[in-house]
Amino acid sequence: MAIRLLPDTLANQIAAGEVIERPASVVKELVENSLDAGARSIRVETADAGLSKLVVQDDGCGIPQDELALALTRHATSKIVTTTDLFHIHTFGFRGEALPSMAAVSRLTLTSRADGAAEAWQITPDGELQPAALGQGTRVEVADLFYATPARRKFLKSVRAERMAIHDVLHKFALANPHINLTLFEDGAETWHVPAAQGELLQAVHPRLRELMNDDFARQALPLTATRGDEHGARLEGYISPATLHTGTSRQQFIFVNGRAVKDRSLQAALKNAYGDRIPGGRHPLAVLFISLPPEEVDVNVHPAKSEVRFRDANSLFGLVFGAVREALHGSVPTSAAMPLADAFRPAAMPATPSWQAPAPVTMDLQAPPDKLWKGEAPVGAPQAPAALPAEHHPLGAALGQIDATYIVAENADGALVVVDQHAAHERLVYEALKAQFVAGRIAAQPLLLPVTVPLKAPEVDALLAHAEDLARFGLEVEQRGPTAVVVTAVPQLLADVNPATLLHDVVGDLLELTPRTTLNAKLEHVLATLACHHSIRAGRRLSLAEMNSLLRQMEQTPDSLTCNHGRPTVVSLDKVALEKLFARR
Amino acid sequence: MKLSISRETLFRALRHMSAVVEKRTSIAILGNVRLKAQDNKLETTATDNDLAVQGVAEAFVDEAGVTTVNAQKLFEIVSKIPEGVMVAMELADGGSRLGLTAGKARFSLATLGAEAFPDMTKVDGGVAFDIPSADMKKLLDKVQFAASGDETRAYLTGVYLHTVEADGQKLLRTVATDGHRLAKADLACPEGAEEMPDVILPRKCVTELRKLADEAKTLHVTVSEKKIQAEAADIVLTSKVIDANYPDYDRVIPKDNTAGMVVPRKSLMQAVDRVSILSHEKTRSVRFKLEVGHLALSANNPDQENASEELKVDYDKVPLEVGFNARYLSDLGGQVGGDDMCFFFKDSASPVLVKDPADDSTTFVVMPMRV
Repeated sequence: MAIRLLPDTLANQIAAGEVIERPASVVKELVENSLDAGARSIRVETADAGLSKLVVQDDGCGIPQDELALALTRHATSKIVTTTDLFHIHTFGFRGEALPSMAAVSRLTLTSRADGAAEAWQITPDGELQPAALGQGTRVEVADLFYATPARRKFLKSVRAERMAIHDVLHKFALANPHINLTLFEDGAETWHVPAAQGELLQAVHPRLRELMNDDFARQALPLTATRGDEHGARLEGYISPATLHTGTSRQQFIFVNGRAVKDRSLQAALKNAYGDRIPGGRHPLAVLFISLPPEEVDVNVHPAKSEVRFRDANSLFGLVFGAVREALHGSVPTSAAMPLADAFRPAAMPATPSWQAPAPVTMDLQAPPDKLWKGEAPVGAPQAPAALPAEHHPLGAALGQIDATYIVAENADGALVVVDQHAAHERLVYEALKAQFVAGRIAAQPLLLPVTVPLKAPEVDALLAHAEDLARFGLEVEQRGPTAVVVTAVPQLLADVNPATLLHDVVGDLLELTPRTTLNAKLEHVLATLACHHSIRAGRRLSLAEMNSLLRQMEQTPDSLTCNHGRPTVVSLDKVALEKLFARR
Repeated sequence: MKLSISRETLFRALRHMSAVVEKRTSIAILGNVRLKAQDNKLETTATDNDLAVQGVAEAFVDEAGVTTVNAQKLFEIVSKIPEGVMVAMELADGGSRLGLTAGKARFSLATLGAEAFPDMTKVDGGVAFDIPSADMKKLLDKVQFAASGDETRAYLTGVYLHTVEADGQKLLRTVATDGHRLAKADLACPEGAEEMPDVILPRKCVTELRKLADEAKTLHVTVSEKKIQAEAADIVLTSKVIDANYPDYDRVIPKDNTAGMVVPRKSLMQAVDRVSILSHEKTRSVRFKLEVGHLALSANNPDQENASEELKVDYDKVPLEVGFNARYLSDLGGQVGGDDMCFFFKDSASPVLVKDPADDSTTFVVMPMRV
């Protein structure tokens, strides 16, 4: 067969295979176009989840009459002009493929009234240009999607699944663009609407968290802001869940780079690692992270759907996310009472929004003995009156006694009932103290009498040696033995009983994604955690009130004491409102 | 099968079984002991598939036969029968039950067919020799402490038993190391053992061999590439050996450590014991500061507490500072029998040689710690 240049129609259909996979990708491409056109309000209409009809209408800058036909031609775009522009991409689109691809696989009607134009013009599926009625902006109607490529149609999932996919896409846009008014009509009825919000990004996006994430996240999310470098450097903003809130999947983690939703394993790993032992194994934090970078720092031209990007300095971004999340978590010490049920968290910088109201501070008579709740019949450990405590400094309150010699019961100044698992809490305190000592001191190394040769792949050897100095600080010393093997000459004394080869393989395993010290650190922390477990107050031990109060005060001063080393909560509290609800007083 | 046997004889035959039998096993028959009666003898065998112990006892056998019953229960029953009582055993219900009568007490135990019982007591080929029990015990005792507990490197968990030729003399040698320290013990090669294959004895085997050595004056040992067997009086122990190559240990035994220090063992051990109270409880590091005639020990912990102690020692080389794991030092002190210990240093990072001046047949090496 002779080699021929493909006709345009076929080329466009092939390109559509990459960009237009399902109705949701049409929504994504069209909404991105609207955003690029500077729209303030976007309306999406679907019928049969977009399979029979899909309309996206905006109030953006519009397309002049004489450019309408060109817009449907492949590689026609207003967004970039030169190659240099390709590496300074400020817009979502730039390939000039979306519209012609859609037009190739559907009956597409493009209607637009450009900024300042007197009338709207429309280009029909048959290519006819005719006057039309429309306010300023653009309306794209995609009918009979995939009628031209029946094979693709067969690969589509159920209407329900396609509808969910559209929702997912719109949710991401809603999170990333809080200043845009977004409306969704499905089969003729308005099913979803988010009004445009005002103010700074973090503040504007907050009202949307309840709907797009969930109630708990909206109430408890910790805000974070961090920058790296000067005003041209990277900027990170967002919300993360406190350590006590987590889910079984990582699907509730949204990362936006310059407004674009991306999947990035390394940034997700940075997030997860920053939580470290604060959340149980196999659980994932929730997060909405916005990263702004100068366009030349990020390459979005990796994947036609642009869901993956490449960073010029991925390591520094890893550090930025890791550091900011760590700090935000550290900031959430119990003095601000971010307890699982307490709802009392309110960062100072943020104005309160209706979804976010802290319970009004209950003024309580501090002179009244807190143990009046327990008159006689309650199993109070030692019936001595606790010293009155200044209210606001002690969110964990004054200890009342123990239940089952395992749980400390306390009442705080807001009248909330606070229950603390004494073993879990103390274990965390001892662990944090051990960690602090460990970090302060030098890490003892046990050189090996019989050095262990570990065969590895050549890139692994290189990666390992690149980190050799870092590892040596942790007591793990390696030397190269040929291109595909290293010799372990010393191991951290705390891990001296472990097979050095296994240890090294574990370190190498995470090497390509993370820094090896994260792995080593985790292993060392595990040893310290075991040590802490053996040195902490056991469940079943009777404590005096003085001991209980001292434990509560120490917890208030220790970061991360809300969860034990294994990520389980150490504190549960029922505020006054919750108690009243229990007794049907409300 | 039908027999009667005195309680003491049966107890003796069973006494080594309980250490071998797996208490929790997915293979039911490994929890059983095999009883084989013939020619007025009762042969008892227990195994965990790696190690087998067999005892032979005099009995009045009316009817020969073989069966297996739960070892733990049988042992418990026999140990609770008063001394001097005759025990009668008889298979019943077509072999599915073993009836046991002792005085007025009757027991009926469930049996499992003996055909499925793994018999690993046979050793193919191999070299056989006799060795005084005390010598065998010493070879094992002096080195086993240095073996590793890390099951992922099985070869380091065992004791390497082999022969070497040194200064024209054939020696039987044991070595154990966990990669941080090493112990070596030598013995003039017993007659007949010269051609013995090199084997690594698993930990359980070493433990049982040491117990066995208490049973008789001499052990009759057979060593093949795959197994080791030791007989003492009425008990036979058979064990598989670890199928691996032992590392080239000779390479790490220092040959040019010239800085020798002689220190009274007791006072060193007591000083280490005291000073290490304030060492890091997990790393247990103790620092040696060595000057002419004089050793200073010190330790500190993350709470900024510290301890030090000075000892007079016999040392006349350059000053030296070395860190040790206190546990390794205590282990060494436990193996040195004489009044003094000899340390030979090269520098603060190289392996340290430790000798017992009263016993030239043992050698210890310990790697210093970097603190």
